[in-house]
Order: sequence, then structure tokens, then C-alpha cells
Amino acid sequence: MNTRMIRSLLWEIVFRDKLRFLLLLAGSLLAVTVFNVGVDYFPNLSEFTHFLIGFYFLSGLYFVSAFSYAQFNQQTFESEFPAHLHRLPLSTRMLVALPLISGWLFLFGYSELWLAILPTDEATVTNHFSLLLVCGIAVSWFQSLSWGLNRSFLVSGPILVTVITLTVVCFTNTKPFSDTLIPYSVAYSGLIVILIIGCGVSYLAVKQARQGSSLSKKLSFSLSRFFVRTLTQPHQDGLTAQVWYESRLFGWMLPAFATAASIVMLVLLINATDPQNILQAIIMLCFSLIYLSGIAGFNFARSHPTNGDFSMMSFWATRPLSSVKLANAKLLMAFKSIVYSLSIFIGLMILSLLAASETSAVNQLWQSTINTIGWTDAISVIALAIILVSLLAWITCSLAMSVSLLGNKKINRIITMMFVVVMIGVFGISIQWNVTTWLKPLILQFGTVLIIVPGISAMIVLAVLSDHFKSLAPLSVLKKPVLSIIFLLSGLITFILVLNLPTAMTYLLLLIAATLTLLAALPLLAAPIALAKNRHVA
Amino acid sequence: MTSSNSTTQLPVSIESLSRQFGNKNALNNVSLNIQAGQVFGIVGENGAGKTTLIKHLLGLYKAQQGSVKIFGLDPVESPEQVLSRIGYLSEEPDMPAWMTVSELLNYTASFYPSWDMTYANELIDMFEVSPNKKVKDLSKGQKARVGLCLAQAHRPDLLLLDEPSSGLDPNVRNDILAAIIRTVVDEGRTVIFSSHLLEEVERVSDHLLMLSHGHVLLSDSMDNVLTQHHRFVINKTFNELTTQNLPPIIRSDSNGKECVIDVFGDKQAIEAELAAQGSKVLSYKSMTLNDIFVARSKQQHPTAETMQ
Repeated sequence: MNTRMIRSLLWEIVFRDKLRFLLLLAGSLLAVTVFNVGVDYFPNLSEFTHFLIGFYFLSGLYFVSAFSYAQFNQQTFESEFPAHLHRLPLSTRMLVALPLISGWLFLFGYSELWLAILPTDEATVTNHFSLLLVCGIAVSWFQSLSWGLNRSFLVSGPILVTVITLTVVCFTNTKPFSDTLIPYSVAYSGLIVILIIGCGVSYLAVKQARQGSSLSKKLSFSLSRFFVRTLTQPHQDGLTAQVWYESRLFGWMLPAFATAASIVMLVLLINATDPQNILQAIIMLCFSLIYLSGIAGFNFARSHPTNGDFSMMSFWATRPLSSVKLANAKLLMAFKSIVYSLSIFIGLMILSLLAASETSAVNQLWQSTINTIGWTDAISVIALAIILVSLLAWITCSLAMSVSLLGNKKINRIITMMFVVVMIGVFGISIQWNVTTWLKPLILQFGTVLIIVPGISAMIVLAVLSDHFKSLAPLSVLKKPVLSIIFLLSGLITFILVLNLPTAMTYLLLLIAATLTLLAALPLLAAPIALAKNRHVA
Repeated sequence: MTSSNSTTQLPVSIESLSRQFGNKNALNNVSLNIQAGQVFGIVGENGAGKTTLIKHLLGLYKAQQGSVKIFGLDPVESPEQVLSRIGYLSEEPDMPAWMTVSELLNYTASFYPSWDMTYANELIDMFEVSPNKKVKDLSKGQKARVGLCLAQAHRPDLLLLDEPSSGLDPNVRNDILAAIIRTVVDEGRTVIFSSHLLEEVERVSDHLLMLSHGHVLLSDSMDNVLTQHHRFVINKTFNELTTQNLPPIIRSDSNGKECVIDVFGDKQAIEAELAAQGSKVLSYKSMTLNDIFVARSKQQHPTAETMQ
């Protein structure tokens, strides 16, 4: 074990930022107090407080673990990692604080906005808020899975929309389910098409930018440079280029546009006659975009110039660039990306509101098209298409996760097989049920997968790492009991969720907690091994 | 780019640098100073510590013992200041494979305010590499040429070439590489150049560092190295010689009647001392760098002092 490295890491995380962490903690306590005081004046806020506390804690856990994971990733896979990049960036605090602050600002803004525009009863507010929360966290989860592979970052877009839409369909729908299923499904299929087109365009743009010598190359380069120049400080030419090449600007910017456009389309198609629903969906979009951009920012911050095997290339290691400046530049860009996303959202929101009065005719046109076709199984086919898209995205994401954790392609195959089996099973069970009732169980199954997979992944990670690094005797000794515990917990949670589901809310909270806890646990498991491997340096 | 203070500093100053990998001594108490405007050749067998030394100069390794200063700065503490003044070509340059050569030039240029794109394009033309070709499609030799261009185009104060010849064909090696190195030195800049091709090092270097198993066997100007190493064949056995009065004998080989001795020192003084001891010089040979390297690597006698 490289004790010097561990000491320095601990020192960086715990001591260097202790003041800011304490300030952050004090700030959060103050905020909670203000909330509690504010309950007298705003009764609807009382339920929010609990969520905010939980959200704050889990977000902190999430982002710290994300940061830890990123740092350990950097230091894991290369025994010749440059000494000057070994020290953790000063921006640790930025990495932790910025998303939290932006999250806080959003939550405050959101809750105020919600209360202002939807003066409804407390339970409804809580429910809706929770749904938005879980959507955002689902986005985070999926995006975090896609770390390491930029292409999967594009592919994971559909799954984000799947989660959001299915959640909307199942939990916020106040009309009879059968009345809204057709327009929802039609809208969703259109949404997926737009999203795929957006992702495809972005991929082609990147490809053209790299390969071609045509006009499209010039255009895409010019456009991306415009964005990057705007987002970064003009004098940081090296950093600008670095961030541009790493961030694959189009890799998230265009999907963000596509997501926004498709969700607005969804809103317009379905809820055009109900202004409250329009606002509700737009707020959800806002939330998702913020998370999307936030996680995109983490994607920047995490990535380091590495080759496919996650080893540091001497090309970058010998450039005049410190990890501190690099991380700061990335974080600045991530922060600004949130602002950009918000501006996109605001623009689209204005457009959608302007266009809302025109869309009832569009909605009628879609419905009449479906009626004309008269194919009653259309919904099943659409649902199947959704599942297949989700499956594809999910598998790709899981591959990315396993590669980024281990750089081990064997694990890909194992995880792929697991997902294929699980998803086929889920689909097989679901298809037996009435089409109007199987969507909800599907979501439960999907959520189950969400929980099982990190558990299984953790098991695999632990097993493989402890086998690879036999010098870590204590870990090897712990391997079997830890694996057993993880497995049992996963099974237990699954059992509770599937058979004893008390309420949708409990399920959602369990999902959040389990996901974030496992997400936090993974890097902590990998950290000592990562450090132990890196014994040649520093 | 350079402060007046650091400009006056030596390009490289190493004090008692030691490095271990596990139980293996990669570098053992290495000290050296390199003056500006020198071509500093490093030779040594595989695993001698050449690349480890260069990685310390780049700040890729932190000194476990001793210190490394580049232009008066610690490369680990001040990576940006140091690396902005260094050009580096590794034995097998790894570059972002998906970029084209021209994209790579543009990209790398963004890190260096002093980047000379005209010069970079001239080098690429001279190396006959297509700027529109992707890095992943380049041959090993072409990658080495591009790497050399990247290392050179910002006109670094210190050019580090780690086994550059391994990827270059003989034409490029003999003509272009030597020309580039001379150009760099003529502009008052410094080149550190490691190679296992001793003729090449002999041809282009002003100063030689010979490493073996992490130890400095020899560090001296190339002129001194070549003029002060001598091989005599004498009519005595080694045991019959009074070695205390002779300059350091690096290696000897006796066959009972004659003895071959490799000696480091002034030729006339050695001849005079041999004559004083009644030894007749049967033959004499001025040692090539290859002879010297073999003799020093197989050194039998305890004269491994650093001659500086």
C-alpha cells in the first residue's frame, strides 16, 4: 500500500477543505432552520424540509464519492502517472460545492416557483417534488454510469427520457390511464425519434469535425470553438483546447437540445390544454437539464487524458499543465454549462408557451392518425421499442461503468449477459399482462434492476480486484463475507420492492437511497486497491 | 516566458538523486550539472537508468532522495514553468491517435505561447509526413518524426530526446536529427539525448554521461572521453605493474606474457610511467566510444569515480 499517497489523499480531502466543509455544513443547518421557521408562513414547505435534508446529504455523498472515484480513477490505472499531477486539485472544494450550491439554488427557486404557480395541497406538492427529485437522480445515475465512454453518454439520452416519461405517465397522470396512454405513447415515440436524431447529429458532427475536410468540419469546429471560447477564459489557450477535446462539446450539448426539444414536444402534444401540466413538465425538464449539464460537467472533471487502457499518455503528461488548472478550467466550464442549459430551457419554455395554443390541433391529428391505422397492438409495439432502446442504452452504460472501473473487457461480457437475461425476463413477464397494467410493474422491475446491478457490479469489482491484487490480504479475507452481504442486501431490497411495496413514495426513496449508497460505496471499495497499485510514483 | 532569474540558472542541476523501484536501484546517488548550449548524450545498457533520469527531469517522477532542478525550479513543484521550456520526445511517442497531424500541431501549439507554426510546418514537410493523415495511421517512423516536430516547434530551452533513434530510419537519423540538434545548440539551447547507438552519440554530443545499473560510470566532455581513453598492449602481466603510479586503469586482460590495459588519462604521462616501470608498449589504440562503453561496463578496477 502506498501509505504516502493515502495520507496525502486523506489530507487533501479531510483537512485542506475542512473550513469550507464546515462552512457548508453550517450553511445547510442554517438553511434547514430557515426552512423550519418558514413552515409557519409556508405550510407547504414542511414536507420539503425532509427531502432537502436527505437530498443535501445524499448529494454530498454522491458528489464526494464521484470526486473520489474520479481522482482514484486517475491514479489507479497508471503506475507512471506524473508526479506533478499526483496532488489533488485545489478545486476539490469547487467540485463538491458547486453542484451543491447550484442544487440548493435550484431547489429554492423550484419550490418557490412551484408554490407560486401550483397552489395545491401539501401531499401533491410533496409527491410531485419527489418525482422530480427521483428523475434528477435517475439522470445522475445513468450519466454517471456512462463515465468513460463518450459515445455511451450519447446513447444514455434515451434512457433518461424513458425514466422521466414513464415516471410521468405512471405517477402524475390524473386522468384515467387508458385515456392518456395512446397520446403518451405516440408522443414518446416521437420524442425518442427526435432524441436519436439529435444524438446522431451530434455524433456525426464530432465525427465530421475530426475526420472530414468538408464544410461541415469547418462549421462544426467554428461552432464548437465559439462555445468553448465563450465558456472558457480567453487566455487559457492550452486549457481551452484541452477542455474542448475532452468534453466533446457536441456530445452533450446537442443531446441536451434534443432532450429539451423532445420533452417540450411531449408537453405540447399531451398537455397543451392544461397550462398547469405544461409548467409541471417544463419544470421537470429544467430539473433534468440541470442534472444533465451538471453530470456532463463531472464528466469533464473526471476525464483525464488517457488512452483506452486508462493509462496516462506521455503526450499530456509532459505538457505544461497542472491538474489544478485543468480541473479548475473544467469545473468552470461545467458551472457555465449549467447556465447555458438554463438559458436553453428558458428559451424553449418561452417558445412552448407561445406555441401552446396551437398544439391542440396537432394532438388531434396524432390521435386521428392512430385511429385511422386502427392497430390495437401499436401500443405494445411502441412499448417494446422503448424497452429495446432502454436495454441498448442500459447495456452500453453498464459497459462503460465496468470499463471505467476496471478497464477489463471480460467484465463487460458478464454484465451484458446479466442485463440481457434480466431484461428478457422482465419483458417476458410484463408481456403476459394487460397492456394497461404492465407499465407500472415494469417500472418496478426496472427499479429493481437499478438496485441489483450496482450490487452485482460491486461484487464483481471486489472479486476481480482482490484476485488481481493478492497482496491486499485483508481485502481478500473480507471478500467472501462482503460479497455475501452485498448480495443479500440486494436480494432483500429487491424482495421488499417487488412483494411488499408499501407505497410508491417508499419505493422511490428506497431507490434513491440504495442507488446513492452503492454509488458511494463503489469508489471507496476501489480506492485502496487503486492506491496500492500505484506504488512506483511519488 | 523566462524570468531573468531562472534564465541564469543551469538548465539541469541534479544533486545526489536516488530512486528505487521495489528492491531495485534505478538511480544511485547521481549528481550532474548541465550547461546551456550543450548536447548532453546519455548512454547505458538497457535498465541503466536513462529513461528514469529523463522522467525525473520532466517531473514525471518525484525524487525519492536528492534534488532535481531545471532552470532552478523543481519540475514537480513547478510543472508548468518547467514543462513550458522543455521539448520531449519519448522512445515510443504516444499521441492522441484520432487526431490528424495538422490537428495535433494546432492542438499542441495551444499549450505553448512560443510555438512557431511556420517552423512546425517546415519540419513536417521536411519529414514528408502528410498533415491530413491521422496519427493512428502513421508508421512508427512517421510517429517518431511527428514527435520530434512536436518536441521542437516551440523552440524549447531544453530538448529531451529519449532514444529518438529507435523510431527513425538511418537517413533521418544521420541527417535531420543531427541537423536539428546542432540548430538547437547553435541557438544557445540545450539538448539531452539518450541512445544506445554509440556512434550517433559520439557524433552529435558535446558531453557524455555513461550510466550502468543506476550508477554514473562516466561524465565528461566528449573530447576528453575520446582523447583520454587509451588501450595499450604491454610486455608485462598486470600483476607486474605498479598501478598506483598510473592513471586509473579501467580494465586489463593478461595472457601470461602480455597485458592489454585500458587507461583513462594523459597519453604521454601514461607512456612515460610505463617506460619508467620498464614496460614496453607493444601496440597502442585510441579507444572508440564503443570500446570505452564496453570497458567501463565491465570495469574490473575500482576507478568508477565521476570525472567532472
